[in-house]
Amino acid sequence: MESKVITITSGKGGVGKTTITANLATALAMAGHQVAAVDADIGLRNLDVMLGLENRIVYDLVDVAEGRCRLRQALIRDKRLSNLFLLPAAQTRDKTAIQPADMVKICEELKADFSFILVDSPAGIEHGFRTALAPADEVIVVTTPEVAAVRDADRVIGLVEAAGKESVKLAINRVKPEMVERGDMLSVEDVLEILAIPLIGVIPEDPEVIVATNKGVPVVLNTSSFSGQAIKDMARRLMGEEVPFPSLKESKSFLNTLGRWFRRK
Amino acid sequence: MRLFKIGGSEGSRNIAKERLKLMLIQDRIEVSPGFMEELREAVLSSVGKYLDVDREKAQLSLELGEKLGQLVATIPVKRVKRKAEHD
Repeated sequence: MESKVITITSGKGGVGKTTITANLATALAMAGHQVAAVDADIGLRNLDVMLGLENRIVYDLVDVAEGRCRLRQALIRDKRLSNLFLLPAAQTRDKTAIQPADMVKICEELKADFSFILVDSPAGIEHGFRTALAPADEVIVVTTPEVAAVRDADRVIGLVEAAGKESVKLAINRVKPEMVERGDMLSVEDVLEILAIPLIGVIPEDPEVIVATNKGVPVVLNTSSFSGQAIKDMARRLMGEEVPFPSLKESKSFLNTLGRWFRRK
Repeated sequence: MRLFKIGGSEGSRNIAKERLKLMLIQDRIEVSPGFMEELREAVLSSVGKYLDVDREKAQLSLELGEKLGQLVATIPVKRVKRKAEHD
C-alpha cells in the first residue's frame, strides 16, 4: 500500500481532533501498520499527552525543521506498540515557527518509513492550519453535532477544497443517541445533509475517553469501550475496508438505558 | 418530568438545523467571491431569452429572509419579447 498523509482538522477547537488522531494512530498500528503521528499544534502540544508520551520528548518538530536534529532523533517510539511513533510539537514556540513547505518536506521523509502519517492540525483557519494541511493526501474534518462546530466545519471544508485537496471526509464525534432520539441533537443524517461530504466515522459520546485521557492510554486499547470500537471501525475504513456504520440506537450505553427507563414513565 | 419530555418535531434539533442552514447560506457566499458573478450571469442569460434587459443596471443579491435565504433581483426591462428566443 502506498504511504498516505492524513491531516485531521476541524476549525473549531475542543471537538476531539487530538483524541481522534491519537486513537486512529493507535488503531492503525494495532492493525500492523507503521504509523507516525505528527503534532502540528505548535505552542499547544497535546498529542504526546493523549499517548502518554509527554515525559519522553527530547527534540520536536521545530528542531527538525530548523536542522537542530535529524528526523529520526525526534521520533518517539510508543510505549506499547513498537510500530507507532510520535513527532511532537514544540511547546515554547508559536505557529509561525514552521512553514507549509517544512511540513511537506518532513512528511515526504516520513513516507519512506511509514504507511500512515497522521497530522494533528491546530484549531483555527490561519497559518497553523495551512501548515498542517499542506502535506495532506487525505483530510478528515472532525465535528460534533453542535451548531458552532458544524458551521466551522463547513468553512474548513470550503478552505480544504479551495486548497485543491480532493479527499475530504467527515468524522462526527460525541454523538448522544438518546438526545437525537429525543429531538434535541442534530443527527448524523442532519449533519451529513448540511455538510455533504462522505462520512468516515461516527463516534458516540463516551465517559471512558476522559478516563483514558487521564491515564494517557488511548481508548482504542480498552476492548470494551464503544467509542474505541467506533474509532477502530474508522481505522478499517482508512485501510480501505467497507465497514457499515452501526445504528447508534443499538448501542447499549448506560446513558441510553437510563434515558429509556425515564421515558417509560 | 419536563427534563425527559420527548421533544418530537418541536425539539431543539430542528431549530439547530434551520439556524445552520441559514448561517451557511451566508457563510458560503462570503467564501466564494466568484459565485455571485457566476449566478448573475446565469440569471441574466436565462431571463434574457424572454426579456430585453439592461444588463449593466441589473442588480442581484442573496439575502437572508425570515426562514430561508432569498435571491433578490432588480433587473430593468427594456422590452418584453413576443416569444422566447433560444440560442
